Amino acid sequence: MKSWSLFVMVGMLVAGGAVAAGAQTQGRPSVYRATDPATGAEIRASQTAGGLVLEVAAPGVTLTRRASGGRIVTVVRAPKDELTLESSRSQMVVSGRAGRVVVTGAEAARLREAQALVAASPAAAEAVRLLGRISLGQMSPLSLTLKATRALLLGVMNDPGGREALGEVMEDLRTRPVLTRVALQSSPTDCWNAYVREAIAAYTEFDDCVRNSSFLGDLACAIIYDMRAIGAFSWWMSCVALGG
Amino acid sequence: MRALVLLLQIVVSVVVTALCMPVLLATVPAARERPLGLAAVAVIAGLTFAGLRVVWPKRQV
Repeated sequence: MKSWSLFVMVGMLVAGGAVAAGAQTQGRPSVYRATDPATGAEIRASQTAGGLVLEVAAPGVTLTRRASGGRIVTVVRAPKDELTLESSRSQMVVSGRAGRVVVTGAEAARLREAQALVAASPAAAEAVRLLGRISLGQMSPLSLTLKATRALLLGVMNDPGGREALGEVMEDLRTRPVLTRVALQSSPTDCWNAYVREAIAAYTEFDDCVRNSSFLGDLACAIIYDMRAIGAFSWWMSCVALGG
Repeated sequence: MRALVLLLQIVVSVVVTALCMPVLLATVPAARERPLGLAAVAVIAGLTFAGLRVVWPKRQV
């Protein structure tokens, strides 16, 4: 398999992953709209019964991308041209005004035909230009999907910029903020120090309580002290994992 | 029954230790250091448990 066909396959996988990541980010209800300030393009993402749909509409070109069940269908429409790319794990189908090509596995000749079909499409070129100018910011849940779509189109066109676009997607994935569960790890000494503080506080409280109370009050002070002292000791035992 | 008695004795020893330790820690500053404090915990719990084993009423045969 030649390097550029491998590159196309990697691009397809990344694009699929980006769509899945986009779907996770969007959650429910999952309809998002944004207007790109740089190009004026209307970008809309929605979760339908048929899967996640991304639509980018700008004067002169419209891009629709539907992802469901491991299959991604990208349709690019320009006033006088239309191109459809269907990609799944097993095959890629490219169809346009000039014909239809089905690429499976490592068929280099078919892949070259598909590449020529996409490269000759004015709609694809216009979509790549538009996606390259859209700037929603790194924090936008749609930016990764848009970059991945551009990388896929450039990859299929065998454009040298495809590698750069794919690199941008990978960099975006790497630097994207993620939510991670963290915990402060305590040591047995930390457990002991915390227990000592609590135990001394319990005794001091008991001492103050007894000095300023009657006999019945003493009983209440003793009950509170018992509860606090036993609670602190059982916490320490649990902290140092005594008794499981 | 013997296991239940043993468990009860252990629980009573832990509770007694839990109640004694704050008094010890508040009145003897040296016990606040971990090695001495742990030794105090072991001594109090051990003595209480041993005492309970001795004084616990045994069933007459």
